[in-house]
Amino acid sequence: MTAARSPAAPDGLSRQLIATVASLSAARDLDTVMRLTTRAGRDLLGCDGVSFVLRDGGLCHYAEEDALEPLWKGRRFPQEECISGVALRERRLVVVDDVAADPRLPVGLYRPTFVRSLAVAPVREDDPVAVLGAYWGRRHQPTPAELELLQALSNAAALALANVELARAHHEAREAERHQRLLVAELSHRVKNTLAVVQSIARQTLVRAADLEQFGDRFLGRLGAMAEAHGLLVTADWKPVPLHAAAAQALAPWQAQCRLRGDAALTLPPPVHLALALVLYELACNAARHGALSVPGGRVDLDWRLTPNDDGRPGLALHWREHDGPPVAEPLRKGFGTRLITGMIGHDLSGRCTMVFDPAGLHCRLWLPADP
Amino acid sequence: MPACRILIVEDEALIAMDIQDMVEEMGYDVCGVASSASGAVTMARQLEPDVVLMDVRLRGPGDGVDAAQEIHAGRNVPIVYLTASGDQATVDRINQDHPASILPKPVRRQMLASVLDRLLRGGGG
Repeated sequence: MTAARSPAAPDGLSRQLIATVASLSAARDLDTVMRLTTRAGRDLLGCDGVSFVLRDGGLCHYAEEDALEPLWKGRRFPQEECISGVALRERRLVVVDDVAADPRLPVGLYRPTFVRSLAVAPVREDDPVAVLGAYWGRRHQPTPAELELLQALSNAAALALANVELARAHHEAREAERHQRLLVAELSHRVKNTLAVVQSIARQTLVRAADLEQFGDRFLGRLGAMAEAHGLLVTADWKPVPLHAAAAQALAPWQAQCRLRGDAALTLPPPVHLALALVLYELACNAARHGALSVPGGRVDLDWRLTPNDDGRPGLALHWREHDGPPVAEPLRKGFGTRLITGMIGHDLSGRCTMVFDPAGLHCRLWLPADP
Repeated sequence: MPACRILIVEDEALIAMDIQDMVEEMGYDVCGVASSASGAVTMARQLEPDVVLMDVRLRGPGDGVDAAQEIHAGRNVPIVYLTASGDQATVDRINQDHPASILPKPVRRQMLASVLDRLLRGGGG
């Protein structure tokens, strides 16, 4: 039988290394890893400076340092022109005991610094992503123990970087999942809201329809106008839609009898576009049943311009004017089309709608605030 | 006996029209239609409805729950939420108030009738 051995009490250096590894294992971002590594490297090696150099494509990015005097923090050098590049390419520890005498080093870079000797170790030896450099202000041949320590610290930094990458990937996956849940919830909301609108149009059309054929014509027409307006919005990537395009689409069946005049560059935010498309469709359908679009020679002019209302509030004015159609009389009761127009302009867009049943042709003036 | 008065808070005119038609067909009076939280609070104070039908997402600042809480601070009127969002976050948000009921949109006429009957006529719901 052998007696259980007591673990060896760690010396000061080992304790320091253990503490560094513990801190590095808890680090969750690159800056913390670099800061902890450079500080610990200087303490553990007793050298005059330590830098953390990241591989940045074909460049070496001196991203962090802890040194007697500033070295190259923030600068980038081609891999071929600095010793860190050698460690990256050759995947091994590189020692230079006299920077002035080594042809691999650009002397001009070192002359203004305190550095006389150095050692650089790759971070992640099999496929380096960075280099840890140690610098001495006097000629110094690093001992095997110092080099072992430098490489051990580089390896700990490599593990910490892998942790950071894992944490980042985990965070991104959770964010993507959260974003997807939000998108699904938003999509569900919009679908149900749109179904509620369709339900309303169906019910209102149904109660006023003389027969099933009329219901079919009117309901499907309204549904089609809604679908086309959504289609234009999708084409515009849910960004503001040109008013000219929206009006031309809503009035397409009566294109030859309609004249559109207004700023061609003017665009409408998505909710305004969706509401106005239905309003124009209703005006056109009404004109096709009772007004100027019900006869071959009838005409509709649609004009628009940016103009403030009486209170000076900026907005958009549209004028729908029918002419050369049959004589117009004010209807005895308000139909769904009129209710839809006044409701959408007044309630949805906080605008104003005035209809004048001039015997020569209907005039409809709309005013929409720029900021409803 | 006068008809019970209902305030509709809904930011889409077409949906508001449909709800209005449904409740009027059930024999109730619609005393007002608001599209924003502030409009809802003002109308509730002025019109003193017997029930408020409240959408959650409204135009402008504040949502339906903000409006309901302000209405409830002044008067204990039953508020029925109508929402197209059935997700937990919305349900949790609504439950920050004291909803008389929560109905999904599109609103089914029979469900709305049943809830209003329970709240206003003492029906079994």
